[in-house]
Amino acid sequence: MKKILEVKDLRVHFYTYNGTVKAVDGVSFEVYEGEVLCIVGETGCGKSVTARAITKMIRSPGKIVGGRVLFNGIDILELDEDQLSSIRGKTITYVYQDPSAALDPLYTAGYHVAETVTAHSVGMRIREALRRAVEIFHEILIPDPENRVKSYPHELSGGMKQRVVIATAVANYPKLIIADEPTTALDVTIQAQILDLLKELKGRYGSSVVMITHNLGVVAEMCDRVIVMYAGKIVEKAHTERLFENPLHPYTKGLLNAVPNPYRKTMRLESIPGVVPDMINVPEGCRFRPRCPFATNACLIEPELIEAEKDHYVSCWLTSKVGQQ
Amino acid sequence: MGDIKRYIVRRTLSFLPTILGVLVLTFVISHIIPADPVRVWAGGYKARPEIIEEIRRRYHLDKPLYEQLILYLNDVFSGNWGVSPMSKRPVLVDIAEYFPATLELSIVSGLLLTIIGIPMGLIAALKKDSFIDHAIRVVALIGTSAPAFWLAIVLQWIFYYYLGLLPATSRGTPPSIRYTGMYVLDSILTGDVELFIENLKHILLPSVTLAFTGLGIIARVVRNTALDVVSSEFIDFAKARGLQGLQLYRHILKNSLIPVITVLALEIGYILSGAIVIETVFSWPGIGLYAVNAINSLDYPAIMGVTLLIGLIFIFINFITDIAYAVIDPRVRL
Ligand SMILES: Nc1ncnc2c1ncn2[C@@H]1O[C@H](COP(=O)(O)OP(=O)(O)OP(=O)(O)O)[C@@H](O)[C@H]1O
Ligand SMILES: [Mg+2]
Repeated sequence: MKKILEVKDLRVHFYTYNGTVKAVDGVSFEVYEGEVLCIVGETGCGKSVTARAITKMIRSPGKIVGGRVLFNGIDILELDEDQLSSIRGKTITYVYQDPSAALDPLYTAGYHVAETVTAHSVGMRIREALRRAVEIFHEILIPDPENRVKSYPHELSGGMKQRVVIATAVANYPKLIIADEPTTALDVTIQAQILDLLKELKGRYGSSVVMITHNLGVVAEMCDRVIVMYAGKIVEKAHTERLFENPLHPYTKGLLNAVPNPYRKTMRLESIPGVVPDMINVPEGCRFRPRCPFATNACLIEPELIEAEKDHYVSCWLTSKVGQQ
Repeated sequence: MGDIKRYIVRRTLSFLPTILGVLVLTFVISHIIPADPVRVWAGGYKARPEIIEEIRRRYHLDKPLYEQLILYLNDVFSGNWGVSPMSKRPVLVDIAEYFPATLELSIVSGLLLTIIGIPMGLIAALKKDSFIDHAIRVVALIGTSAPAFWLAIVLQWIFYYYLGLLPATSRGTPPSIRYTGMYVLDSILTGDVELFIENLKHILLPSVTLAFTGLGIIARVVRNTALDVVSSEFIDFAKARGLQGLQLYRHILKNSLIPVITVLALEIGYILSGAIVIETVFSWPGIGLYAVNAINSLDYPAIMGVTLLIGLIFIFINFITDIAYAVIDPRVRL
């Protein structure tokens, strides 16, 4: 399969009054054509920051302090604002978590889609683009599209608003859609519909999807591959089935024990003791060490991300030792 | 746009009771003044009882209150706002003479307020926490805390007495033809450049004084609104969709307008009430000066006329503000 995006050793820091927050600290991964890649992890582990850094959408006090984001052979992080704007919303698009906040209350649903189209097609009139909006609304199964384009966000339900956000994301036939918890703000019944829609659209438009979630059910449902993040680092990376069948990192095991596992029978659900460390004073060595039931002195040194089995990477001394022996 | 029209009709209807309320209030307030106006009009303590009686009858002051109220309402709606016992002219004629001066003053200070205050706020937002931001904050503080009459005197002292650049009192010279009664505008309309400059010089000090008191508030509101909007999620998402330049500013500006319109409307209210003080200090023959004279001589019809006028202006401003909200924000049009 063809790589369309390659993130190499990405580092994002936030310079706050209390100190430097190393929100993303050396993250590397790649996205293949047509796949759905999931990023999972507890709140605050740096998923959103990673996603936003892909098109340099990091605002002060945050700063991308290192790494490269290669897209079609060019490093996005080297581009200027103009060039970035021509990528955002066209080749790489976003679906935000809360559609009520993402849409401008003073503009119609159709206008949001139309302006996203005109922003990337020189000389196209908004009127023409509104017709395209109707088409897209039709494709993503918004009922009565001719009238819905004229609706204002407050006149739409949460699910409908998220469909509008998705419409803006697919309007320009993107190569990559980055969906940051696209269903968290929605009713459970709507969540499944939105996920189905995303799956359907990705097939139709041939886009890849990076899906951020902390819902392992969503992972099992949607994703081809999974990245597990903990405290600004990737701790495990594998194909979805492998990860559910054979989780290697204690943190991943903990996550899986905390929810019903569709690939394995578990008797009891357990939560992971402790909380994510504050990202200013991260623990020395393995960051999961303070919460890890298997921690040893070896864990005071930071483990590398190594390939434990084919296409299955993990950063944990337990596995490394097995691999070395 | 259909709902906008419906909204305007509904809003207009809902203002009718307010107008009626203002009328009743004006009437009641003027009748609880603890002094006998008739005696004053008739010439004070030495006035002859027959004359007092005669005046009482002529102004229907011998009738019961509710009858007076009905007479009053009837008159107001038929364009008869009474005759001022002091000027011996219909109140509406007096208002037509004095009001353009106040209107002119308010418009110029309103314009100053807008074209200086809004950019000031935007600059403060752009240069957040810089020296300029703090400087604007200080100007804002001085503007809101300094009394208008004090500011007026200071400005007069600097620009008239000390520098000799600007006149300290009066409106200047009326142009040969009266179109609107506003000297500056009329001198443009008659094409008299010299007169225009002269009249502009006259209006400068009073309008700057008036504008200055509100400048800080506008600048602060614009600053905070702009900062809020720029850091909002939908602007972030707009950037994530690749919008930039004008396409992006459109979202920022439109969303910043609502709070700005709110303060602007409030400021216009302040300007009108501030005009009364300012007109006295600058001997500006406007409605404020007229009102002060009317109050000093217990000129009932004039007081009622001015109160009614100002009440109606406030209602009108509210009305325009409401409509502006509805045009900008679809959520208001419900
Ligand atoms: N503007 C900011 N200023 C300071 N720190 C920030 C800022 N934005 C993010 N961070 C920090 O970066 C870290 C990662 O945040 P991020 O939003 O990526 O978490 P997340 O994994 O997306 O969590 P969630 O599941 O809650 O969305 C957090 O520790 C957070 O405190
Ligand atoms: Mg997040």
